[in-house]
Formats: sequence, C-alpha cells, structure tokens
Amino acid sequence: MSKKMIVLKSSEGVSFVVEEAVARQSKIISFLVEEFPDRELPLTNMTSEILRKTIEYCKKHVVEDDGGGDSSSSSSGDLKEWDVKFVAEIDQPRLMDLLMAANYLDIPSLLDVTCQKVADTIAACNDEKEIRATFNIENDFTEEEVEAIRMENQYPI
Amino acid sequence: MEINQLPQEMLHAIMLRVSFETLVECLRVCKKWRTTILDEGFKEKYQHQSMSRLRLLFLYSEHPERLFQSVCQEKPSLLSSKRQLRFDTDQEFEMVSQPQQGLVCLSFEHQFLLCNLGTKKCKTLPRPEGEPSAEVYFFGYDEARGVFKLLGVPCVNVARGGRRTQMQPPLVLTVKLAEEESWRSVEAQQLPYTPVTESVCINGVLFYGARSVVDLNTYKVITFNLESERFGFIDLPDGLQINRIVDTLVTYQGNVCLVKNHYLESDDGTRGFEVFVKDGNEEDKMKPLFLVIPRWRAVAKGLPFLFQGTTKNGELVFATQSVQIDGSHYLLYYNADTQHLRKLKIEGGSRGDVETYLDHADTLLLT
Repeated sequence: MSKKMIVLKSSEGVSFVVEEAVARQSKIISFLVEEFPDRELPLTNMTSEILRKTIEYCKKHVVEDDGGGDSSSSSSGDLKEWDVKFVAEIDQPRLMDLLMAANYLDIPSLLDVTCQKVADTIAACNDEKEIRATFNIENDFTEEEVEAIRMENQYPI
Repeated sequence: MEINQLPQEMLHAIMLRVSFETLVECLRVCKKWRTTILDEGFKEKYQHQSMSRLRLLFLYSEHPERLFQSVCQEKPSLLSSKRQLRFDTDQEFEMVSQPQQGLVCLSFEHQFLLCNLGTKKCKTLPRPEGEPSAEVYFFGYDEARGVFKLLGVPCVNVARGGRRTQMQPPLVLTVKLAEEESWRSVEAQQLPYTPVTESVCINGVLFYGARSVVDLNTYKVITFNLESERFGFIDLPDGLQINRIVDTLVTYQGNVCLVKNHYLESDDGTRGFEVFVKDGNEEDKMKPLFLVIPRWRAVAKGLPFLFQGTTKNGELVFATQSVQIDGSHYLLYYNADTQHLRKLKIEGGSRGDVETYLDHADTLLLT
C-alpha cells in the first residue's frame, strides 16, 4: 500500500513532498489536511532551510502505526540523543527560527527541544555579561538603573 | 532571528526552563528580559510551576550568622540544585515563619520583614500600633483568595501568674505585596489561650498549640481561618499536654499533627512514633496515630531525628536539629507504601543549629 503524501511549500516557493503521517505531527497541518485534502499547503513564513530542518525532525519522530506492532524507528533513549545532536548542530539564529516554526506549526515536542536548548545555552553562561555576549544582546540599562537593581538586591538589615 | 525578536510567550517558555539562579541573573541582562520575567502572567506561571517542585528550606544559626539554604524537596540529594543565602546580622530573629508560597516572614526588634530569599527582595511590614507587647506572630496564606495574613496573638507567661484579664485582643494584618497595610484587632473574640508552638498553615487555616490561661492543665490546638478570621479549637486526648520546648506542630498528609517525640524501639530496630493527628471526619479532635518505621536503627545510626511532616508525595521527613561533627546534617525520608527508609546527607551549612522547613518554593513574588 502506498503511503499518502502531501506537499508543503516554503516561502521561496520550494515544494517538499512529505508522508502525511510525518507532517501530521504538526497539529496545524493535521487540521489543514482534513479541511483541504489533496491541496498543497503554502507555509509562507517558513524558509526552505527551516522547513527542511523541521521535516527532518518530524521524520525522525514519526511513529508509524501500520499494525506491525512497535515500528517506531528508534527507542526513546536513542531519540533523546538524536534530539540533542540535532539542536547542537544548529547555529543560534536558525535555532530561533526553528523555535518559531515549532510554535507556528504547533509541534509541541520540537518546541520543547528548541526551548530547552536555548535555556541550556543561557544556563551555561557564567553571568549576565556572558549571556549578552552569547545572544548578541545590548545592555540597555542606564548606570542609574544598574545601580538601582544592585541596591534592591541588598537586604535592608 | 535573534532571541530578542522572539515573541514574549516564546521567551516565557524558555525562561520557565532555566534554573531559579539563572532566572535571577536573566533579570539583569536587558530591559526586555526584565519586563518579560516580571510580567504578572509569567510570575503566575512560574509560581504554579514552583508549587509543583517544592523545596526544603534550612536555616543555620551560628551567632552572628544566619544562613538560609534550600534544596529540592523530592530529591534533596541533588546537591547541585542547592542554593545559599546569607544574613549577616547581630539581630536575633524573634520569628522565622513557615514559608508560604516561597515567602518567609522574619521579625526582629518588633520589626517585620517579608522576604523573598531567592531574589533578595524584602518588604518591611508595619509594626502594630502602641507599645510592643508580648505577642507571638504567625504567617499564613489563604490559597482560595490568594491572600497572605499575619496573625498576632497575645502571649502570657502563665508561670509568672499572667491573667486572662491582661490579655489584648488578637491582631491581624492582611499582607499586601504592593500596597500599604495596617493592623486590625480581630473583633469580639476573647482568647484565653497563650501559644506554645509554632504554627502550620493548611488550606487557608492557621493552626498552633496553646495553653489555657484559665485552666493551666488544658491545652488545645487553636485554628484561625484566614478568610473568616474566626478562631476555633481542636481538643487533644484527655490530659495530653504540649511541651513548648520540644513539641512541634507539623503537617501530616494534609492534616495538622502534634509531634511529641514519643517513640518505642523494638529489638529488630523498628521504631514506632506516637503522634496526634486531626481526624479528618471529626473536625475538633486530635487522635493518636502510631507511625511504624522498619530498619530505623540500621539507617538512623543513633542520630537524633525529629519528625518534620510529610511531603506532597506522602513521604515522611525526619531531620536532625543541628549540624553533626562531620559538618553535615541529615534527613530521613520514609515511604510508607514501599516501606523504604533512606538517609540523606546535606552539606554546606555552617555549624550550629539547623531548622528545617518543608514546602518552600522558588518565587518571583515581591520581585
């Protein structure tokens, strides 16, 4: 039996042909294919690169239910390891894009993995200066504000 | 995309995943992060998450230093999650309340301080009007209404012939995190009892042990409903007294429990503790309950442990009251379902006495 395929189209107009089971991990796509079967789905705010990454993730995580028992391609331990490697290989701006994609497409497990990666990156910094440097954030506090924040973290006794 | 281009809800999802120490650091990164973390919606989400990850709070007292330290309550052996907070003060704390929603109320020299020990934010609470009198203060939280209250009840030294006629009415303060507040008398209720224990707060009701100033042989557990501000009385078994030095009130499986350190040990090293627990069905009675802990002798190894109450998972927690010779203090966790008793070592406090408080939480309240 051939598997049902659907077409996802990136913002650059590139079409990706994906097994429906893979794409259905996105709750939004799952909803859309029921509403508009046999139509290609334009994902206008996702670049091809990010869409490709998202599909890569969904392919790895798909649990095929074809009656053949547990046909999940990986054990949960392997899958976790794969996830860690998957997000480790992505640079920071793309990680943010992927996080947004996971949110937009409503893929909870991918959202979890990407948020956790950002949280871990923050946690690995030694202080707020290192956080700013890591994430390219400008320190927009005035000297007075810095002093006020410092003062409020002192006990009044 | 840069991190600060993410919508606030995504930043919230990330911030919920960092440790509390890191979160406090994140407050100092930039204005956007500060606003994101101090957003009321986020604080609420964070509070909700924290209340499902309760912590133990320890207070080490070795004059003149006071050190607070907290560890994860369900897995206290995870030393990496330990955090410390130092109070360098000559002030003797007159009161260190049970933590409520992660906030602790301290008092010294008749001054009250509501403290977020994690973010080091404090609020000075008003003093009761008039001359400082002998009062004992209890801090509680009413979950249903989201209200903190501080109750002041008169304390009479019955041994020196204190009389009920001298007793002032109890006082109550509704503690507001962002506004001014003032003390009120709790009206129309004469309370001829003087407190003899610390309080516990369960489901919006404060409980404390007290001795009658009319009949000195009568002891009761007094209840104070934080919402209705009405007092109630729970009877102890006939003739049972409360020793104000050694007896404590704790929370046992959601009910108030009087701990008297009454125990028996059998030849095989099993220990049985007698405690008194409020009967869930009979609202106004404390009944004896025998807690049997197998392998006590083998695990406790002669260390003096005192019952501290139960965790939300129902495990019984025992703790030593002072740092031992090896520089650590110890906890015992007993799971009645699996009959598993385990001993946990907590390092890193100072020397001296250790107070153990259950159900502490990381919080952004007051911040």
